[in-house]
Amino acid sequence: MRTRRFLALALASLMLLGVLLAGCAKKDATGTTEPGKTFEFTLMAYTRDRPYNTVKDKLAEGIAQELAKAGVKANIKPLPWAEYLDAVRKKGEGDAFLLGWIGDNGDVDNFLYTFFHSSQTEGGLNNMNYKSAAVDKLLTDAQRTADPKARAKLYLDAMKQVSDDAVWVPISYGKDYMATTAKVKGLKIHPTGLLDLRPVEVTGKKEFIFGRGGDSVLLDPARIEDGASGQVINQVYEGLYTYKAGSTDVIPQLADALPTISADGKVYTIKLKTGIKFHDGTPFNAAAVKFSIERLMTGKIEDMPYADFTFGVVSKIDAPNDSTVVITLEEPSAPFLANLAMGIAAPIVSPAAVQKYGDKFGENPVGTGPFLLKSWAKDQQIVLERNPDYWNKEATPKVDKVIFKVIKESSVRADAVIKGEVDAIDGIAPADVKRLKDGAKLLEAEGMNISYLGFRVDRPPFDNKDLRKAITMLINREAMVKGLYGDTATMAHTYVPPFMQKSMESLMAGQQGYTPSGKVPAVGMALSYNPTEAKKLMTTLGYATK
Amino acid sequence: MAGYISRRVLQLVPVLLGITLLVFLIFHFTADPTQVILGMHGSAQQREALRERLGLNDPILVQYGRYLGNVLQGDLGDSWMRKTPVSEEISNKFPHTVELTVVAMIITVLVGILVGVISAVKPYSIPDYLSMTFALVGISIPVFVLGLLLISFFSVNLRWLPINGRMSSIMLEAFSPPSNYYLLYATFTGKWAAAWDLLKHIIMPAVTLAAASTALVARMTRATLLEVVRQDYIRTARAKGLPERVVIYKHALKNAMIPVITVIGLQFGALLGGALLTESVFTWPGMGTLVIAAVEAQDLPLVQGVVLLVATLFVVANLVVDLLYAFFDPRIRYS
Repeated sequence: MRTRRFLALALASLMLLGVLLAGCAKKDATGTTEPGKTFEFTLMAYTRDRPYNTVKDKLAEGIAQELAKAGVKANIKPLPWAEYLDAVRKKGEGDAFLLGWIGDNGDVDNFLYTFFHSSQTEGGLNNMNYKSAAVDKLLTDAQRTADPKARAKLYLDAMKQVSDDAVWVPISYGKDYMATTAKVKGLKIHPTGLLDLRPVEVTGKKEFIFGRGGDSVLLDPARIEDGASGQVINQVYEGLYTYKAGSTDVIPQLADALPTISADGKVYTIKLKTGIKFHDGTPFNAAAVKFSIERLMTGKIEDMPYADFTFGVVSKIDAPNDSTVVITLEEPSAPFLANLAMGIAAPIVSPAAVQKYGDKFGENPVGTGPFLLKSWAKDQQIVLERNPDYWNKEATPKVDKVIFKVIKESSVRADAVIKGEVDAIDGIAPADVKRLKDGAKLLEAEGMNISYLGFRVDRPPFDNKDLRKAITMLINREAMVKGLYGDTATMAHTYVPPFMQKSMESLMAGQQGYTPSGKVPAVGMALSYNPTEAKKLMTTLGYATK
Repeated sequence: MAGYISRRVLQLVPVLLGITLLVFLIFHFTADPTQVILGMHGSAQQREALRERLGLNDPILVQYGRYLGNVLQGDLGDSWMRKTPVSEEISNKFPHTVELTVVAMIITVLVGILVGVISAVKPYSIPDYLSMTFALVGISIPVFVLGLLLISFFSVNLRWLPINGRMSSIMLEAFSPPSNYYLLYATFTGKWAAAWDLLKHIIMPAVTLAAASTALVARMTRATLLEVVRQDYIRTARAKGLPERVVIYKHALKNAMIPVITVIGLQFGALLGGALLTESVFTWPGMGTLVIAAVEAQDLPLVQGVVLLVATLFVVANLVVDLLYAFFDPRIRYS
């Protein structure tokens, strides 16, 4: 009896010890470099839905599965979003990590510079710690040149080098969706998220009700960074420039024409349209532009999160007369024009109103836009009314009233548009796509985002370029993306959204080495799926594969 | 009695202080505020400057002292994601949650006790089995599922009730109450169209929220009433020739109510908590929706403020229930 008990106790202790040891061993496993052993590494993954990744950490599992087919082990470390950013960006954990990016201003610089320039290891997305003098030069030159063709060449060259260095595995681009009832006409999805409601009409009534998942935070363009605020700001305010419908080309809005740029690329002279008034009757003029921009240049970062990004490169701004603004930059910056077209930070505000309302300006917006704020029931709805004195007679709004209604649950939002209780919705969950195709009108467009896997290139194991190339070639991205996302995402070949890629390639049309050879292969694309080649590489590196 | 009350109220003070300390400590050790506020922006230098500005480099005790001092003055800090004072956000949202909770409470008390009494008066009959089955379902079904089911059935299929929110968009625009106590305002000023709209919107969330509590109260009432009815004094009352109705409602029910009141009081806390999920499903603009958004955004001051408030309310509600209990049952206060 006693021996039995003793044996049971011994067995239990051994099992417990075994479990503990196994747990410890798992935690410390990082890339091994012993030849002949199978390759293992730590892959960081986030557990939140993002517009570029709607399956959360299943993406990491998908990648691990692909790699397991060749005997490579990816140890996934999942973390909730805020902790994840901390771990990956601040603490530098993991051998490789998953992340994504949603573009801000529609310019290629906003993607490539942020990802691959060596200065972006802290504030930007260069968490790979990639430092290539060649790529740095290409990206900085592209930032300083105004000529679109020259820029396109520089960016394509940069992407070729990045692919050569196998810094990233680009995974997919998420699609943007909106759904409307059959009665809605004129609503289009813009790649930058810009919401232009002027051409929208609804058969049978003069109001347009838009259902979305959250309420706006504030209606002050300088102080916000969330899309829900941006959507309403698009209606109430306007900037000097805006985007052409359906593209990221910049066109004048409150400015009269594109800016005249000095030879050294630092001085922008902008002529303004005249005769325009703010909603409070005060005139739109150069002083108002100066005020709006200077407001951002002097704001605190926790109050105005996009100030630095948008106007950090501005050294001073002058208003020599009522209809001319002269902006001087610290150094030439081609993307600056795109910044002026953004819906966040760049729209022009009424100085009189800011002075009148002070802190409460965010709830009492005054701009030059096609709609005015009528009422705001927080977390319920925002009601806008048509601006009867809107200056742009060629684009007067077709509806009299716009109501932005908050409906938190995505499935309830889908119910609402199918039932007709709202006229349009956004924030569509993949699970509702089919239902909305059948019961309503589904709009889809390419998003301005990208989801990727980044290698930490400054330390073992992925400081070895060949190893990075091998891992890239082991993942069948096409099949994986189709399996995980169905139709709601497209596989990424390069490091910028397809429409940006196409635009650059068309500027370089006919040039040897810059024209895509097949239907899909794009210039500067990452290595394709090639398991045989990859396994050969792994063997030369000393790893056993299946 | 007065001595008992004052003793219990004084006991509140250390409890509330303990709550503030716990809340502070829990949130102090969660994520880095600069990471949350600045997200992907800002260099290391700017982050460090922000840390200084927020006083995050001071010793913990100093930070707690500052926090406690602010709380006692009613300053719960500023919401990181909304950039407005937390106390303002909470006081804006609180009335919405209160109206929902009160309606849910009314349903719980009226329906729960009624069903419990009917079941107890005719135990093991068909009405009894039906009610108890419903009660079982009510307790078991997750709030979230019930809410979505109700919407699917009553809004989408039958189209009897609106899909969500407090009020229909058009009506909400015209309705400008001085406070967020919509229902109260509409009933007291005779705005019947608005009140009807509000009721149509509140009924599904209130039923969803009240389901579990109603079920619990029904079962509780049935159980205690059945037990009370077996007591000797009930036999005496019946022997005296009193009509059955008087026996049940005047004698039995009053005694059975004591544990039921305790349960109802505790349910108040549960309702506040359940309101979180219900509000999310129905886009009810109350504290629940606020807290969920705050948790997702890691908006610590806001979550902290709501937790503090709800914890305090819960403690106070318990105290009230205890006092009521003592009031009903004289044996309690002398022990």
